[in-house]
Amino acid sequence: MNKNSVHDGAALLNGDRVSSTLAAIPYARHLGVRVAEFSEAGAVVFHLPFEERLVGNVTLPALHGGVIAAFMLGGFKSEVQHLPPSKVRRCKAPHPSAINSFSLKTA
Amino acid sequence: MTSPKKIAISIEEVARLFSQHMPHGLDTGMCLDDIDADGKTRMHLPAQDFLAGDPAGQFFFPGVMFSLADSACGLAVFRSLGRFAPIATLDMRVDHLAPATMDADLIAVAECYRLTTPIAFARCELLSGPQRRLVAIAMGTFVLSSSSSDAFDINKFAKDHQS
Repeated sequence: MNKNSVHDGAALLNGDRVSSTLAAIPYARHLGVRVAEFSEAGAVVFHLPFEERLVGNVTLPALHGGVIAAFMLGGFKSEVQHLPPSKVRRCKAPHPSAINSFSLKTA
Repeated sequence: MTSPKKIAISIEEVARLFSQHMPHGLDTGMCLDDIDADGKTRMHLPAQDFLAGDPAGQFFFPGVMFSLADSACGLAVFRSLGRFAPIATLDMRVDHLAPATMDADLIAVAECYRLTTPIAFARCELLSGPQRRLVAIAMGTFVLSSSSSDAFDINKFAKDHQS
């Protein structure tokens, strides 16, 4: 019982941390990315609500590739770092060495 | 008596219209620059607070850099094709060399260096800061639509967006 409540508390804390880290990224806020679910196992489900302004290809139509890259990157950053905003600022290189994007299907 | 209905429009003008009316380009404020002697496609993105990746607003979010590189490469493909055809990004890789500072516009210089029937290959350099420091290199492949029947009517698009 005790164990469980401690675990729940930790999950909640981590969920809050992911949300606040996400909220500290101005572009993630602009896109409207939010945390939809946070499981005890540590998996985080992020939600990107559709908006017309995020479309990059009007012919298909499809979301802009950069929006998808930014969405995934915002997710990685906020989940992996789990840092309060004050520490995010101190990161010398707030970027990965490479982003690889393989489009399997239009979004 | 009156001028012919069909509008003659250069691929440069089309690319400009497209970059200005692509919803996400419009949202972020991307601009296409005039084509230079070297034939490369240049775009710039003015620094704005909401494009930052850090709370202090010092650096562009890497996803924004990806967006600009993707758009510049796409427009370079259109220019290389000489016509407008539906294209889709198949693969894009971005190597980040340094954080892109927000003390100046982010600049993209792209070129389509190989064009085959189904696939176009493009690359792009991103420059940032007053010194125009190289901050990222992107390489991408784009798939070109093979059917012309469902091709996007760019003349209609241009006409709809000209005024």
